[in-house]
Amino acid sequence: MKINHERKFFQIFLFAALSLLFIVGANSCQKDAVDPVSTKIVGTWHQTSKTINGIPALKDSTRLLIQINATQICILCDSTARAIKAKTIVSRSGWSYTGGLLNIAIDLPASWTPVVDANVLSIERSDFNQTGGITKTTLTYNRVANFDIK
Amino acid sequence: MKTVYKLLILLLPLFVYTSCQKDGFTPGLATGLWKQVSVTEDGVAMTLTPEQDSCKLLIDANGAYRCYHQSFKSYNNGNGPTSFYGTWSMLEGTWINFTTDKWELIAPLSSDSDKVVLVYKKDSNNKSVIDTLNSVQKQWSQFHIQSRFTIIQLNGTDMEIRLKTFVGEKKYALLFAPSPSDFTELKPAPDGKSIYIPKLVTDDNYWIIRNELQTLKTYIFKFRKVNY
Repeated sequence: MKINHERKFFQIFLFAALSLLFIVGANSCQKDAVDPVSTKIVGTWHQTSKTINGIPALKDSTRLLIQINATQICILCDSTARAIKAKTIVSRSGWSYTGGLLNIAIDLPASWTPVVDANVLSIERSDFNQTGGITKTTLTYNRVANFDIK
Repeated sequence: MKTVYKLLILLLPLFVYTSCQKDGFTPGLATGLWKQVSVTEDGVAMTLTPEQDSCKLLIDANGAYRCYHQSFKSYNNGNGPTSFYGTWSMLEGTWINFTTDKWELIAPLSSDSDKVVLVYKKDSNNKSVIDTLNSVQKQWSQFHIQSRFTIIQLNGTDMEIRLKTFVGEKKYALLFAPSPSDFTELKPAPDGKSIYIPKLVTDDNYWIIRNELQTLKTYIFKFRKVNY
């Protein structure tokens, strides 16, 4: 009688344990949710300032306007005299957001660390200078209305 | 029997807790700026030139890394390249892979004399001299490799990685800062090609290099984290 009781208890326990294991196994290794930054940076942005190691510098004319599309394509507007002359004002590049970094294909291997709120986007990249020090370049953008860039 | 059940019940949460934990080092530990502090070859500290000693790695979380060294800085009248790049990844928390440029020895030998084939040109005195630029480009072929390092130590301050490879593979690849004496400047630089290439292969060093490419040694690279 006692043995039957123990056997029944073991069967119930085994069933419960397996069910629990299945539920935990199916859910515990799920990937984290999408980082909200990757959706916040989508939009059209106009450059307002540039700093190099915290010191104000001339704006980066090669990307005065950036349109980051949800299709992982980013459009950069280059307003340098060279680009205007060569009629290459608009250039397109793939982009991704991985490991907390904004990767714009044409800038690789350098990537940007973005800080974004509703209307301001700040991106910072680090590069080696000629002496082996690190130069930090920060571009700040304001959100502008979306429009078609052709 | 009841004791066994109780034990099973107690062990279940432990099993669930540990089932998804990854062993070993995490990729997050590798990201950041690292300054090379030493390189050993079969346990013996290598003497590094000041150009090699300047080596730094900037490892980004997106799988790209950049390497700084001054091995080719003297090229192009002192404006040679100092920043190089590749990709990196971590495998099973045990190994770290870096992709780098590498050169393969393809120097041809003459079929009749086993002498290294060189290209010659006439100098200003109409004397026949070795055309280094043309010769060296026929002796080395550039490609990319992925090198898998075993992680010995990786924490917030130190990174120590080990690679077993051929002496020639270490010398004629950008792992990480090569010795300036093993490379030469391509002057003028050919279009679309690097300005640097391994040194000229002659009859004097051909078999030395061949031997280097067949000799296995263990290298340990030690880096220290730098705040930036």
